[in-house]
Amino acid sequence: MARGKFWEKDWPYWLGGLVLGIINVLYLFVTWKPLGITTVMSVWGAAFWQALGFTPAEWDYFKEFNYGGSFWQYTVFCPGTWLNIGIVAGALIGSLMASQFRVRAVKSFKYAAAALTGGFLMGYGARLAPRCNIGALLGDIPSLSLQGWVFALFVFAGAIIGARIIVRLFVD
Amino acid sequence: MGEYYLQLWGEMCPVPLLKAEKKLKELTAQDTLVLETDHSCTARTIQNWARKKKYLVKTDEIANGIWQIRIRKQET
Repeated sequence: MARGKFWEKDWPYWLGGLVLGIINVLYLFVTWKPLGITTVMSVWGAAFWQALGFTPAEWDYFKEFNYGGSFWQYTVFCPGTWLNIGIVAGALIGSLMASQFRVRAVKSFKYAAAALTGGFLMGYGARLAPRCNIGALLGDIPSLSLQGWVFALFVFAGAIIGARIIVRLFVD
Repeated sequence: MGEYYLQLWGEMCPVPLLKAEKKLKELTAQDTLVLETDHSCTARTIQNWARKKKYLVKTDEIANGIWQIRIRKQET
């Protein structure tokens, strides 16, 4: 059917890249910031601790980030918050449109542990970089920053090591 | 000649592909390997890989978000 064909079939990489590029430019135009996912999450964390009475503005990482402002400024009124919510909502709509939505069970404790460990390492690495895949590859590289290329090189190296670990843990 | 079944629900790329590759090595051209996955990208990856290898491959979405892939090596 027409509906099925358009929503279910694979979009070629160049089309996805094109759409992402246009979104990146629009986002930059509106917010004066390139796309970024994880930096927003770190300020959610800061806002959370701030709400509990801590002072993340004095922590080294957030000092460098020039963090300062109200809880609401870094959550509800932060454009990245809506970007992140939009990504999840968009993915949900996409899978519903293709009738592929399903609540998927976690395979095993081993998978859950690996996913949590991987998530922690990615988050920690993204803060040290301090960029995530999106920020470095779609923000730094298009703005001709060398940092993005260095990031890409080490992500590639990390992915090779990670792939070997996955094979050893889950295939052999 | 037989049918071999691999249940791959909840497994993330590239694990399902590597498992399929490994299992298929043990099989002959008379055997069929049946895979079941709940990941759209896994179904796509395995199908593309099998086509590249010139295996006989057929993918069915047997339920919302569940794909069954049947692969058979061809006689050469």
